[in-house]
Amino acid sequence: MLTLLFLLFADPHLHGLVRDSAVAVPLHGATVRVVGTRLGAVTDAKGEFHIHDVRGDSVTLQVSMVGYSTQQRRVAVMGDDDVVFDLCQSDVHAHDVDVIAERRSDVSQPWDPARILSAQELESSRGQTFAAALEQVPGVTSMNTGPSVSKPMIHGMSGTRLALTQAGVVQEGQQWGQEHAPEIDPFTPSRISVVKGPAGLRLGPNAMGGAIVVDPLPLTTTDGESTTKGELSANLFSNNWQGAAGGWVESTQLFDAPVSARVSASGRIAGDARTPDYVLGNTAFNAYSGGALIVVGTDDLGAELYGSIYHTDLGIYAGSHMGNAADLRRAIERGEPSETYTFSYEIGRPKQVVGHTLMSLQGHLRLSDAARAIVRYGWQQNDRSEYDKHNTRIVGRGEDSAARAQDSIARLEASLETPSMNLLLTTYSLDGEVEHQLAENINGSVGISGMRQVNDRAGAVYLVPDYLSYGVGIWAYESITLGTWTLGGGVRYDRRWLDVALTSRGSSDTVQQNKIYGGVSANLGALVRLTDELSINGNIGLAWRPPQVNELYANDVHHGVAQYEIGDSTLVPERSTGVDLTLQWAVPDVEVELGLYGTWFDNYIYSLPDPSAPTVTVRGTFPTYRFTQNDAFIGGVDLSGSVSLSDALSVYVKGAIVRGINRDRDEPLFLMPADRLRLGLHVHTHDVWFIHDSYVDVSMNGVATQTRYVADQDYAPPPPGYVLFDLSVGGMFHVGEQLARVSVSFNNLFNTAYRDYLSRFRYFADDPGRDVLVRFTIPFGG
Amino acid sequence: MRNTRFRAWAVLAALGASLAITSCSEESTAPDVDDHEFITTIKVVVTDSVTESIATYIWEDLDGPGGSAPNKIDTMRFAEGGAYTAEVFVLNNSITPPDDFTSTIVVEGDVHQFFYTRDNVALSMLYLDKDYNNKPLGQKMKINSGAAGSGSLTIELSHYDEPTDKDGLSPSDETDVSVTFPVLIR
Repeated sequence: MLTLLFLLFADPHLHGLVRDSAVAVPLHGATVRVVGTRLGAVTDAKGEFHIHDVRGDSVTLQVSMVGYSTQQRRVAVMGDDDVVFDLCQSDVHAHDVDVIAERRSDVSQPWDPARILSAQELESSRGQTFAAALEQVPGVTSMNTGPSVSKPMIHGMSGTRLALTQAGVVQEGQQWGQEHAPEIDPFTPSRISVVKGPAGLRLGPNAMGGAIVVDPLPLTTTDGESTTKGELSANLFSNNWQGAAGGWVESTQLFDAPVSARVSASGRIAGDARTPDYVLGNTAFNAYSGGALIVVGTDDLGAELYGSIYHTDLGIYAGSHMGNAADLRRAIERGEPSETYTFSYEIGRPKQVVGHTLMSLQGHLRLSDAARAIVRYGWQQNDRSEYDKHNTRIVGRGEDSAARAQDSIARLEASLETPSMNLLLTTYSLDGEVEHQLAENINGSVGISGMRQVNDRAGAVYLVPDYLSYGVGIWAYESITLGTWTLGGGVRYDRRWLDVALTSRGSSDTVQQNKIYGGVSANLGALVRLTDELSINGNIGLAWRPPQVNELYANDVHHGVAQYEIGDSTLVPERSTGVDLTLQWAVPDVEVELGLYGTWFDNYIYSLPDPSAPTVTVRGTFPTYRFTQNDAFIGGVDLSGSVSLSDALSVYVKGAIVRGINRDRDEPLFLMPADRLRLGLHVHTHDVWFIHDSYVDVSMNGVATQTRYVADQDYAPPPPGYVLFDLSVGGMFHVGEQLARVSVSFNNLFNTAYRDYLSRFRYFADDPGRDVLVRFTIPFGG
Repeated sequence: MRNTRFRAWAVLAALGASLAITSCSEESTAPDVDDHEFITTIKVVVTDSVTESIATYIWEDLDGPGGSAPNKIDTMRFAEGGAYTAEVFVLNNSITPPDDFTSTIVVEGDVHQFFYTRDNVALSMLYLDKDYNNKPLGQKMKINSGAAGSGSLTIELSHYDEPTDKDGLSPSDETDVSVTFPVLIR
């Protein structure tokens, strides 16, 4: 009886630390399992893990992490010391058959590791927009067009200077639009890595600023016994009364064969967002998404099929579509909406309807002990319709007034269903790669990539034409490890062919234009562990991107910003040389990472106003913006650090500074993020009442006023800087035998009114006010 | 066993879903016809209240925004100290037969209003028509001309979301038309 009571109130509890054996930095996101049970944990930002309710005197712990060799060790329960695991980076030579999907699309090079979002970071942002989740990485910001559209920006670069991949396939979806957000559901179980710096070596052009790699969580086929497990999540957001729910189920070793599958689905619905003072009318949205992953085979021979569907209807703030430049100036002067909106879930015009489907089929074959071949076929389709705020004056046509009245009604109804612009972008890709090991310490890879892309446009707005594009790339890299040094380098050549069919309004003539672009991407770097505490990583990278179709051929009013945009079909590719240096210093209780970078651009493409030639239209006069190119420089510093003040208390800091300069004109570049700093306090207690691993996190995020801008290149000066406070509380508790996770977060705790410079609505509306997020996740099965 | 069957269905569902995706076509199914109203021309018919003579002034940009500059911008001419009535017509002249939106605007007068702004020239404007809510519309105006001179007249059409947004004095944020005619008073 006494023993029972003892077991009831004592919490047999394992804790320890997981580190990278090469550079002795803690690993976050490593999975620690108690073999033979359903118990486990994921290491936090300090590399620490805690596992509760462990039974027995000793257990076997298995520690695994993508990119590292799995380790297993018997440990005593309730021992006094922390258990420490030093994981070795895995190489092709290892015969670990347990996780075969690990290296699927590992685009970081061994000498320049990507930054992987830990399970904690993913969890703390689950359900928010994809770009918001990425903002936890210093140097990454998001550009918002209202609360529903959020685009990531790395080091001041966005759009077609960043590559986004999903299951190894580069996501293609009109990234040039400032209001075109990545169509990825942040609910799906994924591993997200961020590459800050040129990623062209593995991803080709359009990765000058970096890459965001989204891979489905690895699914084993041969490890242990067959299991079925899953997770259900629900989120509630108070600012726009948004509800979101998602879940996934996976089953390993189906039919007693090395076949495993996972299916996931999620949906969300949100009403209008609210600033501290008013409702942002027509900012409601909804979305649904689904995905499936099937993994077959073993490490020697196997295949994976991944499919995902994403669909969203987004309202665009009603007060943001201006008739002409004078309307915009009036709205700016007013400083707030001209009408009072009441909260609703209705989505009216202007709105976007976007669908994205993606399929990736990958096969691998081990050629020998030292080589493995991978082939990947990708198909995706992006269907984007934009419905402008539209004037419903339709004139009926017909013989007599009755016929005309009928016709007018029919055409009015049809026009309300017709988008102002529809873009259907279909992309096929085929990649082949051979990973090899030339010697014990020399690893590398060679590969070839091909792609075909078709854009079909419809509708009245003419920001991009129809086109057909092909691309081919070949690449190779090697990395060598000598003691505490890892050196590596690689080079890639790409060629792009673009066939454009240009039509002008009113005429049915099409003019064909053909463009050919080519470029070299390269990376050379080193990763050194100077001491047990300090490691340095330095890189030089070359990257490039061809001009985008909107930069070449735009010829229309861009209503959201009251500008008339004109492309330049003679633009040449942008080329850049980037240098970056990252220092990581880790001692017990203190961890600091400092990154410095600089990128020199030749022919940086941007749009420049031409005040001498405004565009006169029947709607009024619009400033004319022409796409042009100049030499430029973007550089900055990223900082992140944390200090453990005690067992439970730690403070952390994250900051970033970006400077962008147009070298030819000696002016600042447009839309560079302002300096920012986040300071936070994290209190972590093991158990509070029945809540395990509970925490309280309070932080302050300060964003400075952007003072570097050219006065006559924008309708209004950048908005003032601001400070926001965030508070988050959470923990885990038992529901039956499972550990459910719950958290309550208060973003913009004090309901501060502010405008962010990177928000498209900064001219005429504040950003959303306080948002209370309640998150609940419960696993099942296993 | 039930477990195996459930798993089999899960795999088949996943396979089916992902394979069904690749059968989509590459062509957009949205209609390519520009059925949205497309305004190319503002026509102002000015009648001299005394002599009954009629003058027609046209502002036109046939190929729409961008492309070529507006192809026709007439100069309005008024006599010193004259009295006139004017009617504005809003058209799409790029198609045959042309679309005339004026009657639709008048019918939906509760969410429209024309605004007239003069610059550097002695013109006084008075609204002659009203919408159902007794607020001015401006499709018909009274114009009185003063001393000789030259300047311009800007005609704007505001479109409101709701009749309640229209107060008779303020333009909306959605200006559908904003054209400027040079003006000569002699």
